[in-house]
Amino acid sequence: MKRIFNSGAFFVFLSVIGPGLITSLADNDAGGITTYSIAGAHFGYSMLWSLIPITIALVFIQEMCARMGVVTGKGLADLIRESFGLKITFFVMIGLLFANFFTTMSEFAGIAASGEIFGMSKYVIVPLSAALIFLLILKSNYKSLERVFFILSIFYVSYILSGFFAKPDWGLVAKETFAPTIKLTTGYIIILIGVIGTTITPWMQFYLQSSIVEKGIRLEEYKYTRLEVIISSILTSLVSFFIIVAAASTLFVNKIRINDAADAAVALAPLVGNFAQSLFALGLFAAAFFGAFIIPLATAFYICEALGWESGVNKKFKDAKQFYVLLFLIISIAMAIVLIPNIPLVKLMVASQVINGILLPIVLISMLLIINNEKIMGKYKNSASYNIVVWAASIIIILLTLLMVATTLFSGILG
Amino acid sequence: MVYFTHLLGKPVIDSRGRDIGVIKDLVFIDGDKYAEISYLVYLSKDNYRKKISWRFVKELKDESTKSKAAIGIYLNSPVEEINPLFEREDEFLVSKLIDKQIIDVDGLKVVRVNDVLLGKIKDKFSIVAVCVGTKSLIRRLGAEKIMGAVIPMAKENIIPWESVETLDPALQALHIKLNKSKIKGLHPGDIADIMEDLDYKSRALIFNSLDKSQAAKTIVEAEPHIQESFFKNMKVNRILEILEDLPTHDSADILSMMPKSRAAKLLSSMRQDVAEKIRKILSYPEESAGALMSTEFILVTGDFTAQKTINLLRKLKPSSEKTYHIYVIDENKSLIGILPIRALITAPSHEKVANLMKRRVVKVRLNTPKEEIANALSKYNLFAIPVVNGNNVLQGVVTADNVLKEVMPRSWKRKRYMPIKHKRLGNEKNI
Repeated sequence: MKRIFNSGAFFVFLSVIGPGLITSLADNDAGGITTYSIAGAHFGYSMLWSLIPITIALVFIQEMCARMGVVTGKGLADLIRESFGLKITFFVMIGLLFANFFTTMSEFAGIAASGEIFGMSKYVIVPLSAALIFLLILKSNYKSLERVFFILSIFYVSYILSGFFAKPDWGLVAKETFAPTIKLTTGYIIILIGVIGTTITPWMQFYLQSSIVEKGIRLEEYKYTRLEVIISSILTSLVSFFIIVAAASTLFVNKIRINDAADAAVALAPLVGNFAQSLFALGLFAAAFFGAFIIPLATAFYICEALGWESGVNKKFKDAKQFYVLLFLIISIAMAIVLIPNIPLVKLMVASQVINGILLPIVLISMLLIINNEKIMGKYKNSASYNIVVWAASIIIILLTLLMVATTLFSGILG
Repeated sequence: MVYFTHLLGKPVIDSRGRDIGVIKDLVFIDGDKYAEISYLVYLSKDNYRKKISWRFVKELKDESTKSKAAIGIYLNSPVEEINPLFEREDEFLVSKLIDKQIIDVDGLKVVRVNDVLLGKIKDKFSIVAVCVGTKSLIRRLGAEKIMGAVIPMAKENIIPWESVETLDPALQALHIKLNKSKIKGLHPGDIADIMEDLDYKSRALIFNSLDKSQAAKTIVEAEPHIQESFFKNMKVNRILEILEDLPTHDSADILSMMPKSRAAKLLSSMRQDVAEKIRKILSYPEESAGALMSTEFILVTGDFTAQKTINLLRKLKPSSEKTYHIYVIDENKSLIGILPIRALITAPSHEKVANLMKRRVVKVRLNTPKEEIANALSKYNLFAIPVVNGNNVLQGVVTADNVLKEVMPRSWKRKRYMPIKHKRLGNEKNI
């Protein structure tokens, strides 16, 4: 008896390793790595402290998703549709589609950038990766995907290694992490919001909850899932931590400013050697490829589920037209745009952050309303003290992201 | 015909022309073919949700009615004579269907309800169908005019109420109680496919409405990860009940997918004889004849007459897969022949089985791999093949469908078979 790759098994395969872990690792995608590199290069170790409150917020928010999944047995898209009706759902899904489309684009940009470091033209590596992703989605089975995922996740270790190769001043790292001196400048705040925005994203809430539902975790088993969510959130932040450390102890110290993660990799070579550069680039490729594979697939799933269309790669095209069309369009258009010569990719990535920033408050508030609804959650709704923490965190995140949206809209894109 | 979401928020006007509130919901009484609307729920001017029996409704005017009167629901009496009631907790509201998932029993899939279609049937205002198509989605978004031009081929896709099985726990409980769960009429293979599309709570809901043997058959047909989630969420007693009801090779199959400790625990609380058989099957290599075979078959000796054999069959009433062949053994229990059913029923009643049977038996060993069995079945055009041990004693029978399931390329699952149905009346056309 072997599993086949279908909508259910897709999530089952991922949940074998653990929904929390995969969500967290996928969270450190091309956009995330770029933001952390820039944070490290421009502000040194001075942003490390922020990873602690971000991790705490991440743990709390992810825990809510996990709990909703276990208690209701439904995905977040389902719950939003059933609680708030079609119009809000539709709006959220359109937002999710755009945000994830831009995110997919930034993944392909990440693939292109990492390829160029190894001397590969983006016109070769990007279409090749897209083709491989299609092939993986349509043809592969559970076993081979598991292997692909396993290989990809190992590459995240490369960042931790890069952090060590960069020979940071560990005393200073510790001081800036636990007893920081914070100088709030406009540039600092913008990058800080960027770090929050790439760590707490709308799509991962949907993703985590669905994979937990598909795993069919029972309430009795929930304590393990909660533990896993906590550990994986810390693990994500650990990877972010080492990326910032690597960039800070090399680029910042030598006053090198960068625009994206590939810049960081290139700049690393003369400072710490070609090996560190390769590690960094390899990690970027793995993260970007993983993101470009999972985000379009997940997006197509949620949209179809919320709007009541059939979905799943085990369906014939005729039966799940919307699903296949969405999947194909997201991947191929994202790929095509990245291949346009001289396209301002950084601006596109900023645009993706803006859309995510608009979407995140809606998703967070929806989550909080659902999880406090006794009819849905019963005795598993949030406690009063839990609510204080989560609402406070959410309001801070919402204010900061709205601030980012406002500043980028008025200065970033127009200016 | 009128869409439920079109009615919402429309005014309720009594016989003296007074606007008494806006429509909030409808209460229905579930029925097999359609569900009659019993009450109209409205929000009164002083902000109370109240309900009025539908028999007070004189007329319903919506956009399609070409009358000069304003759109709304017109009552046949003044509000003072009606005495509106307050709602009860246990009533079925039409709004509870909206945006929820239902099972399309006819189309064999899980769909999400965008709207509910209401109409007069035999003079009773009732739920006629639910709308699940993209067109109803667009209509609810209020983007009919814009989207109509962009996506002219958007489908209405309505499902008649008689093919709708709701996943509402209260309604399901009622269906089970009244024994009219529409799911029950389906083939277990189709139920298993539907299960695939449901969340685990709904799965359990539907699954619990099945009787023991149907539940067992559904489990066998389900994908491994669905089976896993079933057994994860089911009470031990029910699992045992189902496992004991299944053919042993299927029980063994399911147990082999569970964690070893759980399987051992279940086995130890099972009926001793059943557990013994399952343990034996589990000891054979995976995907060999021993693991695939069914251990239920019909044995006779050569001195049986045709009549006696037929009498035996009548008494045993074996299931269809057991009756492809009757196996003939000698006094040492050694397999000496096969008696095809055709030969049996066409033979004179006094004829001895020994003279009717085929002596050249195509058989396999317990450890024969599935590929070889498939080849044998294909080469000799067989539906079933007997499995013998070293002493030529019959151990079990592998049927073609069991082998087919194992040798089918995984990519074939994508080409899921949908039962051929006659086109539903009124479906996929504009209304």
